[in-house]
Amino acid sequence: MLLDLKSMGRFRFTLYGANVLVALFLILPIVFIVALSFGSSPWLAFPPPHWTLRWYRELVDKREWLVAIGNSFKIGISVMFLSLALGVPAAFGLVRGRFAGRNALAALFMTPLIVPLVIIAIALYGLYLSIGLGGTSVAFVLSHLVIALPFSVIATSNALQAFDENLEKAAIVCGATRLQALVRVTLPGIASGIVAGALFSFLISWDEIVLAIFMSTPTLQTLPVKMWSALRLDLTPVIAAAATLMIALTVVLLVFYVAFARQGGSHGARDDA
Amino acid sequence: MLEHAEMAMAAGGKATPSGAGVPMLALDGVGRHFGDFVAVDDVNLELPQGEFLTLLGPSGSGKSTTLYMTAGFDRPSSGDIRILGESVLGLSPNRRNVGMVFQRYSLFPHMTVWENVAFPLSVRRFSGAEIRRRVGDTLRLVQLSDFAHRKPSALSGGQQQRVALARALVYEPRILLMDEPLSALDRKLREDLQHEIRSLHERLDVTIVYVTHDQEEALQLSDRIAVFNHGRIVQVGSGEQLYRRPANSFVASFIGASTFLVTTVRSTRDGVATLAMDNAEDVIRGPVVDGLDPGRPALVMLRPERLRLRAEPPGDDCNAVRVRVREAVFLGDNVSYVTETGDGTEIRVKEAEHAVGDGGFRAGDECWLSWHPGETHVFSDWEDADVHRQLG
Repeated sequence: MLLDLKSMGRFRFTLYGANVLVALFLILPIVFIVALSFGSSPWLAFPPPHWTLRWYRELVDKREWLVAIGNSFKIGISVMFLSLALGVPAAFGLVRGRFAGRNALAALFMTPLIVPLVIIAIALYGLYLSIGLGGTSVAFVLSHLVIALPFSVIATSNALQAFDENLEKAAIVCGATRLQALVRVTLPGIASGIVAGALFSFLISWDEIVLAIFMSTPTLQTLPVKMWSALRLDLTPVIAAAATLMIALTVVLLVFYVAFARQGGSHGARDDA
Repeated sequence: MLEHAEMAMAAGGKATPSGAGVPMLALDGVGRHFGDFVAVDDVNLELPQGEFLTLLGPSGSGKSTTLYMTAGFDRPSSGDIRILGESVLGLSPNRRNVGMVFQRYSLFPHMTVWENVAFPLSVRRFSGAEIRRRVGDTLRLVQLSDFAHRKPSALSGGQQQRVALARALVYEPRILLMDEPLSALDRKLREDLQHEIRSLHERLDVTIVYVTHDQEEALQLSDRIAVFNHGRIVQVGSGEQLYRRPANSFVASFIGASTFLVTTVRSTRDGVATLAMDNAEDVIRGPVVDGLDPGRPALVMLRPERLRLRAEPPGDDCNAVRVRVREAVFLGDNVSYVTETGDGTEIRVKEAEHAVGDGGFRAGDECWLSWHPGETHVFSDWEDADVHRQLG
């Protein structure tokens, strides 16, 4: 390799240093929040004078927090399923289809990643109000679906592109119908992409706040919205505890995904090795 | 409907054993056009039950398209494809009951070897006991019983291709189609698998259509070879026929390594054509073929193993060309020479080791190249690519 670490002499220590700094920059806020959630100081003093689980107890004792967590789960899971239901067929169309305007359509699917969230939020807010969906959980799910869809489309498209189409032909020549080939060969072959799409769709909804603020009502709040509004009323370590729970779930899901991908989710691409 | 039923009754009523006289596979005037581009043009083939036929040709010559149309993944623009006398054009690939082995194994990666081989039986709703029996038998046949519970990714390329073979054979298809199945393997494995395919073919008596661009592989495996060029079959025959009597310069250049010389026709008399080499006083005699006219150019093809090097000029009944040895390489069972004529034209010679005896010729030696006029292949029509194919 041209830029081999060993051939860099002392310069490589500069590189190590830069890496450590970037890592600290990314990790420290998380460590900070987690530490505060276990700290005894009600004013978020750092370092915490003592350790306690008090804030977690408060979190589960208060119904409003549990309701918000429940809302986040319900909306996130709905978004996940809808995102797959629409994203997987869309990916098939984009990858396998041969039609004019295919590239334009693929670009269109990506626009939610580029258009500023607040603009999408205002547009959807106005739309839902005018059709009477304002303040409903349906509006919540649909707005999160808009920004989750690109992820399931991209993840499934990538897996489908890496998938060797001859496998499908092989299944069909073996006597399978197109449906059997799809269910027994293609879908298992692109499972890693589908699972990635599902996880990202859920996580997008799980920690989304801009759209959520527009869609929420005093009685319908997701966890990030609840944290945000709690923060404006008073600064309590319960927020740190809630944040820690959010981070924990995200980490668990990502670890699950990495483990899944490693034990053989990347079937389709393996032939290229 | 009624008409069909009556026809079926009538056909059945003749009580001739099916297959007698009816070819297993027949391609009848099959063509495939993509807009103006003709991928396959008027291909006619008949395979009796149990034949091993190879479609041989360079890439883009239409051989793979022909195979995929037979499998049912592509539809001919014209002509008909029949299996045991019945057109299969209306049948999708999964209902043609043919087996297929692909270039890159195409095993289902999330299934074990056993599950891969069981797949065609399970989609056909065979009973569990029958599946166990057949999969067990077929894995024994390709010597992979010990690997039944491995995933394909844990197997070598050769083993993977044997699994693919097992999967294509387990449901006893009428015809086995193979699309360059060995091209991804290294030389040694390729030779092993060639033997295995050959012996499977003999034991199972299955009809095989095999696609390759490798002439050695085609010669090794096939009963007959169909040579493709520009979407057409240019010659069909046994390897021996194609080698000894190539129908045109393309077949001559594609099968065997040989020397091509562009010559000028001097005369055609009593079935003997006299051809002059460029710039050389030497003349070559060969058989007269259609289209040879005095004064017009003709292409001469010489097989290296049919040529002899002599220190003395040979007798009158042989062709004789004065050459200088440029390169002499001892290859064990034969000695390979590169010689050149007075004007620098290169001619390759391959002499059997025992024919050379002690010494032989060395680089720089002047000698005579001789061969019998009947060994001269003469073509009145050719493409430049044919002449140059051997050099590349």
